[in-house]
Amino acid sequence: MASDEQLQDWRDRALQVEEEVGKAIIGQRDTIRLINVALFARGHVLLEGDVGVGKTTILRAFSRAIGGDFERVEGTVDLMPGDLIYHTYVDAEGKPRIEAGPLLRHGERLATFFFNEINRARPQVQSLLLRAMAERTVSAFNREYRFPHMIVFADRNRVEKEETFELASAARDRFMFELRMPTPVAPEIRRALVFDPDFHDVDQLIERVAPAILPWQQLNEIGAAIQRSIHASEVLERYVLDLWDASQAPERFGVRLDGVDMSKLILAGVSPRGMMSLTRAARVVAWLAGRTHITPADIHAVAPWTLGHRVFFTPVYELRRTQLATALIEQILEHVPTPR
Amino acid sequence: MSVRTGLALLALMALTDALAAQHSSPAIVEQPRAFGYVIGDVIMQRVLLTNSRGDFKPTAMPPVQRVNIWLERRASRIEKTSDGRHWLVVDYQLINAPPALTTVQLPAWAIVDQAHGERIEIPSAPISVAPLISHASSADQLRPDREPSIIDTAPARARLWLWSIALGVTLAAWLAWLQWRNWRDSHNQPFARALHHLRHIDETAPEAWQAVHRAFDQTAGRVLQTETLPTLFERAPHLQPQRAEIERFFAQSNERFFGAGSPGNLLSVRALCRELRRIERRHEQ
Repeated sequence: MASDEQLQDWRDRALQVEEEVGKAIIGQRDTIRLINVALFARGHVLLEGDVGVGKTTILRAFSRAIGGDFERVEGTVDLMPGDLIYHTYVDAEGKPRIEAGPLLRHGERLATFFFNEINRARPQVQSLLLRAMAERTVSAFNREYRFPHMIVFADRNRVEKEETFELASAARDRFMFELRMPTPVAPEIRRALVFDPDFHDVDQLIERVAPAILPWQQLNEIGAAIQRSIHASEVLERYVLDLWDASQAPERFGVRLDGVDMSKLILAGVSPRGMMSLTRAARVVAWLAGRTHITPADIHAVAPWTLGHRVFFTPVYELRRTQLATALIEQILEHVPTPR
Repeated sequence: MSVRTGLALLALMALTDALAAQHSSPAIVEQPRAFGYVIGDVIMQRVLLTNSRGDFKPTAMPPVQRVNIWLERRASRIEKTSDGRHWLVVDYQLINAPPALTTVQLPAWAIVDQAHGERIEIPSAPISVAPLISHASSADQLRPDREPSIIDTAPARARLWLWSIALGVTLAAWLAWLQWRNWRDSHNQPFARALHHLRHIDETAPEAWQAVHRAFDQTAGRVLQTETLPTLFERAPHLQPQRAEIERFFAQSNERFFGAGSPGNLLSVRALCRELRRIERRHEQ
């Protein structure tokens, strides 16, 4: 079991990762923090945003800082599950060859798997990825491949809807966070992004990030140590359970949304896995803040990104999901009382 | 006639001349009535100043002074009557009460004319003075007080009752309003409600702290945490003077409910709540 000194040492490294990634990405401090939280909570991240806001860049920067092997797949409509598992070609001697695909290629050294534009991949591909995410194993060539250190980063752009496959509820539930990466609004950041040539060359930007800051093989161990060392009081447990109840019956806590019949809004509240993700992530937030206990503020820091995509609305409201989910979680956090 | 006789005649003639020069005439005096006086009465004596030679102008007015054991002379004045004559009016006040009916003398006095040296003699005058009460030997024999006349107080009593009832009703209504307002506040105003709740429980109990939390939540219109405290001061800027104490409350509450347990030097939530209620009352709409 990790000692307090080890945890402190890891905390310094975690903060260093943020600092290094911050050298390549500007104006996305919150996103960087949340991805870092997911990394130490051992959760997968789905990143959503407009085209060209830096989704890929931020994930590449993290991959470099984390260390370990990195693999990247582009989601396309013709991508098949087998394409992730194996790769066939004819070699120079004219013999057909089968080699491990991007998922298997690195074996247990795979630390970061980056699935670009996941919503362009067919549901069959998404299903394969779901198993890999949930179990960190894949069966192929009559045996089971394990990727115990793998974290999946996926992104999708929210502009294009043509030739895309919306992720199923179960798929979304596998992601600890569904982050929305905003376009920077601060004038000085916008100016730097547009006029500073340093930000025009992504490869050079990524080079700025110090590589392999973390001993990635120990991330699972340290993640577990963080979960064990950060305490959640009875009052906080009650609060989290209240939040869970509120995600299923928000009207019981006085939550109201304009133009919404609250009794008909929710089809299903947050899943148990969602609430687990919430507390796991909150523990990491507390740890990064140097505390040994979770506070409601830690919950609030991650709740919108862990709960928002896990509440399912009835069909009449599902079309307004983006707008309603954000408002609902915000209202729940404003109305569920604590301590009580 | 001898020389001695002649000299005596001359001296007599000279004395007669001198007496003629200092002519003294009897005064026309309106003396006061001679009876029926008691202590405190003012007695008026009037002396006519007009005679055949014209008006008599006294060299000096009779001085204000106590003239004897019974009387004090007060300021004198000259009055002119409708027939054109001048009178010197002298008031005396009876300043002593005799034990029995007694005759008292207004003293004799004189005034001298400025122009001719003529002198008017005012003779003394007797007046009888009586005691106010008979000088009995004991207080038992004092005459009883006169029976007061009975006046009809019924209308006044009725009015008194009416106004008393009106006052009572007003006071009762005011008290009822006060009670109702306190009751309403204790159910509606956040810190009034918390304070009401705190009356029945130990202020260090978790329920007491939670009650104050709910008051903050209600005031801010949302659940508050340390990080969202600015919302409270935006919504209720009048609580700003208590900001340090409020922040201390939230920090200690965090420690207590989510951290290592109750910190030392726990603040008094009752005192805090009372102070916040005082501010809240001042800013009630």
